[in-house]
Amino acid sequence: MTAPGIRGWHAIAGSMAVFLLCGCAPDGGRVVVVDGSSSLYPLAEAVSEAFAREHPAARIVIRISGSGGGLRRFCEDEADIATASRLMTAAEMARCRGKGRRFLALPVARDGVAMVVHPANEAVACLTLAELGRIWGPDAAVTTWRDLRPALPAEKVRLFGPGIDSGTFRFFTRVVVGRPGASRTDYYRTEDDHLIVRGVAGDLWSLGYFGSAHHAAHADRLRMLAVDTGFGCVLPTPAAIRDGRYSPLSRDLYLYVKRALLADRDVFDFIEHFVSASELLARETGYAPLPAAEYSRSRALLSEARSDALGQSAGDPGDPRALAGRGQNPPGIRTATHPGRVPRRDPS
Amino acid sequence: MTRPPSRRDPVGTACRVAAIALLVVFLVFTAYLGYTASQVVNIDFLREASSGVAVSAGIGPALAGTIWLLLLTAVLALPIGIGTAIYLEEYAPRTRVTAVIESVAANLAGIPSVIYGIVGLALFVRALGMGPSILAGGCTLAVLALPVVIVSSRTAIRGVPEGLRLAAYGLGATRWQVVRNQILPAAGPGILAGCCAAFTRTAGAAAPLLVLGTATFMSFAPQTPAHPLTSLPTQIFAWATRSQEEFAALAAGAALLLLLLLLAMNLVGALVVRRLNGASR
Repeated sequence: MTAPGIRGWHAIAGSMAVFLLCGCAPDGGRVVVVDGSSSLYPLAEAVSEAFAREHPAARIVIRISGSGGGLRRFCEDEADIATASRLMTAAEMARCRGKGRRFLALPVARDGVAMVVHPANEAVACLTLAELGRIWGPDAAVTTWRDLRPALPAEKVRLFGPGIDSGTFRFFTRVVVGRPGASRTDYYRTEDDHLIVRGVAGDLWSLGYFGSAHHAAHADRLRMLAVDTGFGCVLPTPAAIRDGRYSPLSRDLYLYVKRALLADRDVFDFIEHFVSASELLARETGYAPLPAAEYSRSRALLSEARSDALGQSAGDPGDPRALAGRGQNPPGIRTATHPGRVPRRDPS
Repeated sequence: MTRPPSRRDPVGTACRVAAIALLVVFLVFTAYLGYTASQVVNIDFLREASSGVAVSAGIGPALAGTIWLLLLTAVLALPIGIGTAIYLEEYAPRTRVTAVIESVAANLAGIPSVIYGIVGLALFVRALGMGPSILAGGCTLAVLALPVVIVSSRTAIRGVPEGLRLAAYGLGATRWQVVRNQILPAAGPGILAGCCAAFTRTAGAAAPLLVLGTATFMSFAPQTPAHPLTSLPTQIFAWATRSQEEFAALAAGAALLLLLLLLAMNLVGALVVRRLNGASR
């Protein structure tokens, strides 16, 4: 059984070698691959389209694998840039640095986790954080709306939410349940927000959650619920997300960028464009833009990291910036843990 | 028993109804696709890249991706598949090993295509370091096509009359001369038909490619197999699951195009089969 099989694989490997040899890109820029969060997809798509219009030779690719999946592919070198709706966990960071990757995290926009229901469901308008915990927690006993509040109808709550590779999922469970990843499992799970939109829009007594920016395109098919975090019911509008009234269910969305790739002009230009264009495009695609100072800080970090990368790739040991780039604690780690903004861990 | 004899053939009637129903289903399906697609299909649709704005979205990169994938599948799967079939039928001694290969090939054809994607992710994308590229997609689809190519080629080769072989050997032909001059010309049409079936299966496969990792947005058409993976079926999937209604028309347009591409491919296959049949007579 093995003899012809092995011969077959050799033939495949041989043909592959031939194709790889003639497969070097002939012209045009470097292919820039973005992978990750579906919460950030509308912004990433708008940014890339604008960039491709201005630079027709640019080659941009976006994939959706969820924040966790995107970060994994980023560390495996299957993607150049990861989009994430959360920061890397300590374990992820250790694994990625163990593979020799050095990277920066740049916040590009802010959104909230929006709770959505069918537009004809007018029985409920606002949920408290505690109620969300009772619905989505790992040992949730809520199966009908009446289980939640006696005044609500005894209809089954059909739940739609993100899957385990989603950053929104980890963020939401951390805030609402207290442990990232702790959730009931008997609901429709997907990394694709579009499927959540379809699910909730197709069922009168459904409930779902995803990044609030996705709601902008579907305002006629879904209704957002306000969430009471202790200071009254607040809808996740860009204004409320921006001024912090929707915290703790609002979060920053990040780009993860490999420092070594910044030496490449095409990659650097695209990332620079992403950061600069986000301020305007975030608003258009339904996110809350960050304060202007955040964007200029990211730009400063980027150009600093680019000179480091250039110094390193030139291999000039006399360049002090090159040495700084090889240091034990590169500047990227500062941003990755974000001293400027304390990660909101406590739901209360 | 009062009906005229020609009407008393229930099996024949049932078969006729089934055939007509199939035709009706196909026509309705195509008409629906064509109607939905007519709003979006134009020359720009063929050229442009996908977009978040439905009116400016196109299938340029996806179409190029699918053409690359078909080429790669052909280059990889046909020589290996047909070669294996010839080896099994004409060269290999009938041992337990060849019997196992036979049943493995036959059973592989029935495995859900998503499994091929999982294997492709581990083998081509990760272990062989191809990344989620057109090349990795082509290799995965080639493996997906192999069992069908092998099984149908073997059936075609087995259909060649034994007398043809014996006569050629009797005239002193070597084994390769028999294969080259007798078996392949006689079995050619059957092999080609099987390859067409295998190609139709792989050209429409979205699941294995989605597992490898496909582009949701791509600003350029892939020019080499090293470029990131994209294809018509995965683009159709991305648009069909997208929640805005406008994208359903785009999905229909891309589906119609894929259908036309497959029809054209099968038509060319049928013409070649007919030519071969004419030549061998």
